[in-house]
Amino acid sequence: MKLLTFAVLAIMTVLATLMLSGCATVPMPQDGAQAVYAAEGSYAVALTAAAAYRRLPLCGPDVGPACHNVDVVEELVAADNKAYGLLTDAQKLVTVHGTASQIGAALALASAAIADFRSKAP
Amino acid sequence: MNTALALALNVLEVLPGVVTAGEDALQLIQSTSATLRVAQSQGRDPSPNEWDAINAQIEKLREVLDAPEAEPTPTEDMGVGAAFKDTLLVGGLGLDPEAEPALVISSEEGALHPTEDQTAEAPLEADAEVSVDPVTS
Repeated sequence: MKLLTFAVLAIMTVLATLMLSGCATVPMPQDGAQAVYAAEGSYAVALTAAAAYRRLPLCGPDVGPACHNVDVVEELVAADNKAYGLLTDAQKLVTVHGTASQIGAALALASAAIADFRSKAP
Repeated sequence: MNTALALALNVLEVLPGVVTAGEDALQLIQSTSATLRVAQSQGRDPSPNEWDAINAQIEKLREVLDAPEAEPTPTEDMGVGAAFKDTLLVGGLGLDPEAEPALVISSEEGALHPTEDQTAEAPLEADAEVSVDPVTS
């Protein structure tokens, strides 16, 4: 039983490593619009992990350890809503040519929300 | 032993999803990087189409995350209680929910008309003569 648990953890670790190695190849943004676009990519990766967690079977007495907890999903949804809203605001600013300070402030808020969303992921 | 088997089945069940999620994440990173590289090499911001593409992917993923929890399956929901209710309310009273109605109410004439079965069983006519033996006391 422990062996199988370790096997699952090992697979997830490999996948996480692959994701992180992929993150390292994202080029450095050169302006506000590119920075917001990169933030959206980062958010989408976090969202992929959250969606994968949500796709696991619902936890219950007859379900194995690889399952999703309703309370965790609720936390993820709340954090996702916040990050999504702030990213949408930032995207609107760059597409309507907001000022650099406006874009910078919106991007800072969105980045913090994305980091919070990532931290909620199991 | 059963616990280990259940765990193994659980792992086998979720593994394809985990692998697919990893592949999707890698693809997202690669496409984001490629878009940014092209934009930088051309000295421009991401185009509306490029924004739309990543927004569409985000919307799809959010639909998964926001999906309501699945309702219990009918086999779980319809346990002994549901079977008892059906028996009591329908079978127990000898009622067949699929049966034709025994009596049809005509809304046009405001009268009750027996169905064919009832007519055959009780061939009463309005002008039929009925003889009643007087009761003598």
